[in-house]
Amino acid sequence: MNLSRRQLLARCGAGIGSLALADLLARAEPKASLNPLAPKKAHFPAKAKAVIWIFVNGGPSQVDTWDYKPELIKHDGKPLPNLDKNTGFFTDSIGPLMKSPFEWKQHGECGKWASSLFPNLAKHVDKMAFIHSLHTESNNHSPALFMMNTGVPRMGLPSVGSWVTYGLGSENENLPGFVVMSDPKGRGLPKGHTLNWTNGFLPGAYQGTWLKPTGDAIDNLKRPADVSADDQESSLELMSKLNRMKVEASAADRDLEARIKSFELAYRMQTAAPEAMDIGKETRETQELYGVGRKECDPFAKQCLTARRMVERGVRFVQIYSGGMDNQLSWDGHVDIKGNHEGFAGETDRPVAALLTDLKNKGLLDSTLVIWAGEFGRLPNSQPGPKPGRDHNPHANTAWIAGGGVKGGVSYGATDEFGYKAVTDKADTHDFHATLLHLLGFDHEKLTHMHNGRRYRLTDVLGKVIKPVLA
Amino acid sequence: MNRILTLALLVGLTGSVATAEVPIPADHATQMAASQKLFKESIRELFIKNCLDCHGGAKVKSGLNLASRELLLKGGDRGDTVIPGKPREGRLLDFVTRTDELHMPPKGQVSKEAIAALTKWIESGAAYDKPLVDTIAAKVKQPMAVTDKDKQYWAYRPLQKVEPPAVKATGWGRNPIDRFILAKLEDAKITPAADADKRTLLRRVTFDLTGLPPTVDEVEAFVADASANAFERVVDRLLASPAYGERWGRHWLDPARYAESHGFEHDYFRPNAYHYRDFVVKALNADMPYDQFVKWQIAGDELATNNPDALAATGFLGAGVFPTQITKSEAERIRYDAMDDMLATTGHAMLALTVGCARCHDHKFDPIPTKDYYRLLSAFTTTVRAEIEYDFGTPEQKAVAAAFEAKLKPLQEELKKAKPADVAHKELTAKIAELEKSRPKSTKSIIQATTEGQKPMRHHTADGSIPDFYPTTYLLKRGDAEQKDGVMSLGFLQVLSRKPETNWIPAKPAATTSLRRTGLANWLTDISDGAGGLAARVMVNRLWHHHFGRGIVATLNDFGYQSEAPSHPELLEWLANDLIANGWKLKRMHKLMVLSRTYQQCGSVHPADADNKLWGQRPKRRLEAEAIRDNWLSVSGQLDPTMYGPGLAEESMKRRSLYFRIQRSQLIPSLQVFDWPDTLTSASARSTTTVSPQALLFLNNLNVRAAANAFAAKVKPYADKGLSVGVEWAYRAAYARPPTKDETDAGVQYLTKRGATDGKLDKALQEYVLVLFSLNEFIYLD
Repeated sequence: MNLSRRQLLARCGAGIGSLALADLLARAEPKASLNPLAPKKAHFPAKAKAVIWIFVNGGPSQVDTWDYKPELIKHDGKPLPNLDKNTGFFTDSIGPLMKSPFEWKQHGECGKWASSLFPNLAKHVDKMAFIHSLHTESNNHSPALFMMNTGVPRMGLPSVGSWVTYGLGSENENLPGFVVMSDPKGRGLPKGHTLNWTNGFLPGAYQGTWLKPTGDAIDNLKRPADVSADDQESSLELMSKLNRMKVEASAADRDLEARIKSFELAYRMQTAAPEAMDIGKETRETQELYGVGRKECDPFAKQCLTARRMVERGVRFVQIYSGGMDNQLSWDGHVDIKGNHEGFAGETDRPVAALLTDLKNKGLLDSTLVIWAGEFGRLPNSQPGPKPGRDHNPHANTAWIAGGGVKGGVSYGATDEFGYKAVTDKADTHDFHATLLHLLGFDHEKLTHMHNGRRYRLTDVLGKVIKPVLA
Repeated sequence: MNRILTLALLVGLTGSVATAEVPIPADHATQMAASQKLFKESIRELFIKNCLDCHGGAKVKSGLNLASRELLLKGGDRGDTVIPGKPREGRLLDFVTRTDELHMPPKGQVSKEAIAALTKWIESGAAYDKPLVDTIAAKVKQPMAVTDKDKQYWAYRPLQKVEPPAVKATGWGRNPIDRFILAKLEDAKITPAADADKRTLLRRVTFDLTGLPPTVDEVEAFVADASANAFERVVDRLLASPAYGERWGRHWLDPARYAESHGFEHDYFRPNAYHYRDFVVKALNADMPYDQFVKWQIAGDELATNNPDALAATGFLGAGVFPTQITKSEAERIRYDAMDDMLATTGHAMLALTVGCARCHDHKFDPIPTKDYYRLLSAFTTTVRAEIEYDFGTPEQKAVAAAFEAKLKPLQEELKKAKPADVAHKELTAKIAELEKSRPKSTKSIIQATTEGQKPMRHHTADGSIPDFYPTTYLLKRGDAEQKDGVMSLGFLQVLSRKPETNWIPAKPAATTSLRRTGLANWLTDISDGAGGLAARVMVNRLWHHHFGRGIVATLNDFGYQSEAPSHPELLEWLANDLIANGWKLKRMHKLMVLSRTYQQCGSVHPADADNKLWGQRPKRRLEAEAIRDNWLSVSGQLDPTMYGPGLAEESMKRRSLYFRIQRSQLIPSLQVFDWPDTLTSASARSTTTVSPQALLFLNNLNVRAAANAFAAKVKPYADKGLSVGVEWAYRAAYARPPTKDETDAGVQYLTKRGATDGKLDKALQEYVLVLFSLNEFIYLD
């Protein structure tokens, strides 16, 4: 049962002086805070209107993905000079330099070197801007995840998605503005759980809505079995009628409009959200492009396709986590970096590449910022074992961005010859965040919120926009 | 209007900037002379009056010093402030025209003329005739000095004695609060709103004091009671109800950032943390004096040894987050984070100060030097979470337990002697088993305290390789544990100290604890020479906020220079003095507030004060998350009034929302949706948002539906007597009032249409009362 807002209003207003009410409400001037998700203008015009962030959870190894290091091949098996043994998580399990177990080739017009992990994504390097010089403050997952998601290595500050929805509102009032998808294969949430998409001190409306991978994706979205749409319609009608009687009896009620509206939205969300998540509506061709039905990548393919459907419908910010919580259950390849990364790259390569293709074909890539980034990188050394892995490395991390407002085919910043530390044009998390906000039309110094006596912002007191990646 | 003016001004400037691009213009000397003249005429005075105090006089805030041209041109922490010849490029004009997020001067904008003069002066070269201060001698970035003027700020000075003002309408007020309110209303020529009707008033005060709705009987009894002190007796009854402590305890848990888990990666549960929540409820119900309430939370273990409540009170300090996967390189920073959590929360909750801002640099706005921060921080140097077993039994219970053991012991001794094959062995075993059936329930419990000299609490995967604490607290430059700058010993905020720290710190440590926290507790509550006056102001303001919808100081957790000034400063002083003069008793203060006529007004909006800044009306307010849920449980008769004990994780549980288990990564969705605090840092006033997930909860949530069904079952016997009888009773139960005729008609019509006549009344009633739960009136207080 699909009921448009106009129909619903007409229905509910029938015969009970809706004009008088409208007049009352108009004079009451609802507070701005009442509809926290109403679309808002950014500070300046920008191409990107929406974000899809592929969160490469667990710490993808830069020297095995996008940061080509021929010197590492030459020095395979030799010690890393000047290695601080406190860099990684394990201080007693540090091997020598280890070359990447993958083949490297140049791709695209820009000639970008990429490892064999991403045969499909490598075809899109001309759309991507790589940032090789990212570095962060913690060598530990949850603080580094918090850093990447909220700008501080502690829990509880608002996440990037919350700041963006706070700043821009949402384009579709029938869907949540900020949506998060986590690992659907039972491997858990990222470390730090739901605090990675918290609204912190921002109002609750800006919290990421976590689409639960099992059971009902959104709380209370499904009507109980013994309640029909018809039942609910009658209830809503009665609700409007009674709410309005009360308002006509007393003075103007400034909160009423927002609340009546919230019920209308909720009613429509019951159909709109399942519809947005129903990838069965997509053609077989599109589903195959993403890899739906393919053993290695089916769940992530569905999530990427859902993300596109969401953005298409006006959702502002979508974050998809690749991998779950513990070692080896995410990109956290302490043991067997080869097997670990092959597995997770296999799950994501085709779907993410398809996402870029599909967005482009639908004309959405210009207005959608796609981010591929994790919380930190990994050491160029091995973590010894029968199948060697690599330990955490906060000093070097590679991310790429593509789409709305991004200059494609560029590489910004560089790590040293072995990929151990960012050395050229270093970019910290604040710079990364400042750049993302800029692409969405925000001066990161001016997107602020007053909390406990301080005007907070995503970039704290730091951050500079990385201009060379801007189109 | 202002904004448009500013824009015009800035646009106008761009033209002249172009002429100043030339490196050294030919008329440089002339321009500079003109600039100097401008400076003498209008800039010097402007700077001295508005800027110098914080930027070059006693202080150099944000690294910006404008005492001399040379220093000014160096800029501050925020970059270039003035670039000669380019008024638009430095940030000074952004600050003063308020186009920047930072407004300068913080109080009161400078005039249009002054802005024009500044612009002209910068354009002409920003010349000084001489420095503003005689002895400048490279005074950039001096340590912050706390001045006498700082100490005279309204929040930091000792409490002022004030008398309630005179009013014209002498008959209106019921107690001194009303005189403060009425005086300002009279100044603004606003007549206070009429009194609320009795039903509205009862629902209001019952929710305000207990977080629960009044019952139908309570409403009718109050309506029928025509005696002069009927309302006062209701207030006394509510204050004596145990539900009062549950309601107001929850209010306190917000600034206390209370939760029962570590947070971070694994979010380990803290099974014994709930004792702190129980302490808060008990203390409020017992009307513990507020100064003692504060002191126990900081140092209950030291101030009242062997008292389980005092021990549980220290749970306040340890309720914050703590990471559970710590690498060695982070260990010391994380310990400083943990101490910072204790100090920052104490600062916000007890003093409404943003002390934590001084961790990396002198406070940007308030007179809190970094050194003050670290001296205070050292109060917690050796403080750790610890789990301590305690027997909560009453003497009777303990006697019963001892008697049981006395019976059991000889049997056990005999059993030891008997051979397993003997008949006696079998008989004894049976006897013991029989006796065990009457074993009294254990009254022992483990309290999670925050104390010293006890085995530190570690989550189960911690192996002890990371120190629980470091014996010395240092001043850290930029908050960096790698940049230690001197050992810190306990001291207090200079701006709130009128005696040296030895005035509060016990001369000798106790056997197991340092008594540093006792020193802190003494200072926090010392009204004559310490922070006690501020502590009292902060607490009466919290009470005011919850009763009147907004604090006298709107920012409950920040009374510093960045806060909005109190709307009724004299009233705030008077209330704080009154609290102290009457033994810091909170119940008395509640009573005073709700018995005021100000509290009892109705909600009609006065156009001259639509935002109700003067409290000449009583706008409706939305209930908090807990009260909304407790309301549907209560109205439906489902509420289980059991108090205290471990929290429950199941959303379908029927106890008050206060008793949910608060695990940081798994907050309760049906409360979160109504703006529940995030429990990570001290929470100030809650926000009130209206979003569709709230509506989905009322439409589809099975627990809400279960409550509606239970409520429908209560309405049913009345509805059986006639649909209008059912509708009427439902309104009385849900809203404490009878329905209007239109409302009755609408209800009857709905029920009839939905099948009441086809034997489907039960189902129709369920849907109908769910609608009543969903109406604004259910979750708003008039």
